[in-house]
Amino acid sequence: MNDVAVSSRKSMVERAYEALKEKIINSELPPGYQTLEETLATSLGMSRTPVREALIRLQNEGFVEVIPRKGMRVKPLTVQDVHEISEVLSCLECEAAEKLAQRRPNAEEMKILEQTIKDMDDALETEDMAAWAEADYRFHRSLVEMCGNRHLADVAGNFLDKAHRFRLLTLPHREKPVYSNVNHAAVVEAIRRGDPQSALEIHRSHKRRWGHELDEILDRVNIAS
Amino acid sequence: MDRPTKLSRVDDAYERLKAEILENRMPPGFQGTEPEIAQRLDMSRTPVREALIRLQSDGLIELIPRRGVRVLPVAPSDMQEIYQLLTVLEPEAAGEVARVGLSAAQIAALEAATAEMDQALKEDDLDKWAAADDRFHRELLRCNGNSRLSAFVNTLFDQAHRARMVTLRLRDVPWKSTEEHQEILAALIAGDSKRTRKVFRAHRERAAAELLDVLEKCRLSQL
Repeated sequence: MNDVAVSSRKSMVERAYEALKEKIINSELPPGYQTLEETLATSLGMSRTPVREALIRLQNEGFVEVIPRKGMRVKPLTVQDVHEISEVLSCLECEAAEKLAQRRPNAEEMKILEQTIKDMDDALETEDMAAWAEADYRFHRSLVEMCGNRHLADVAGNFLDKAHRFRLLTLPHREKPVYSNVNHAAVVEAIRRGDPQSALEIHRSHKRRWGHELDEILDRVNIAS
Repeated sequence: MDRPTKLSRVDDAYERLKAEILENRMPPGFQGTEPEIAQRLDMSRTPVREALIRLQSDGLIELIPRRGVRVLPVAPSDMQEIYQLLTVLEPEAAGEVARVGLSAAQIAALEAATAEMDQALKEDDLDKWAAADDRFHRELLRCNGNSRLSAFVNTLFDQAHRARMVTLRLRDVPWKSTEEHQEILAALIAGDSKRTRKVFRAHRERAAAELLDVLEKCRLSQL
């Protein structure tokens, strides 16, 4: 095999992985959905080999279950999953907020954080919940990616993807998330001031409040069992 | 019935390759092609390939097109990041265990591990000490009901394993660490989650500082 063929095969795996993950996160491939490798390959316009490797990766990350000779099944979200993910993310994000305030991000990084807050505010004003969810996701993502710990960013990224799937599924059942905007804006302000203690405490209390809302949502909505 | 066989072959290849890496038989920087690795394990390529994809997501190896596999070295900056994560996650997990409470069997397992750490130091057997230390941390993690947290922290233990083994003989005899485990256990048994978090955090912070100090003093830039 020549170099071109190899590198294009690698990027094919990458493309299949990204495309499938996105479809799972936005529930185009809903929880419990089962299909053949071949069907997925056809829908992505690819051969089966890269799709197969992408599925193994997605299986390792807990998004799907590969079933020999039957293809794959999108893993459903259980109440326990949602709680576990939320618990881990809460630890990691609080640490990230604290570290980020300690290291005082530069002007460009501050602009990225402030932009997510502005987008969240604009989205609430126009009641565009999809745009709000996207900006909220971007806020959490920026927080962990900028904190300076690459290992933390990698693992939190994976958990954030799973949380985003839940965020999108429950969006229609949530109250207008005004307090998220207010709290996130306060964290960004603490980071700008270089106040790690406040950044940590504000984000922790936000996560605690979110934990209670999560319980209510899970009680109300029957998306998870 | 090819499903369980195939799955267990992948698991088998995964466990065996992981042991080769953690015990330095495939040391950092080691490169091999997939057929070479399959031959080494005396297995066919398909389960080996799946196992390698898993090891790549564990952060232990890198798959390189055409050249196969490279065992990833761990740099001091990686260790710093890994210990930072352990310092956040383990005390949190332990605090939750203290809140929920431990069963008699769980307490017995943890007590056995700390007793063995103590005994190993008296016998001057550092390998035995390290194994008991590892067992304490993994047992405690198993007591926590959050399986995702446990799986992830276990991966961090694996990533830190080689550096811990290398520095084991380069640092002071770990009496202090052994004492700290007893303190953590006492707080756990008392069901005092706040104290468990606090002493565990202090234990991790001290251990991380000590380890990074050794790495720097000995100029170990890759492990």
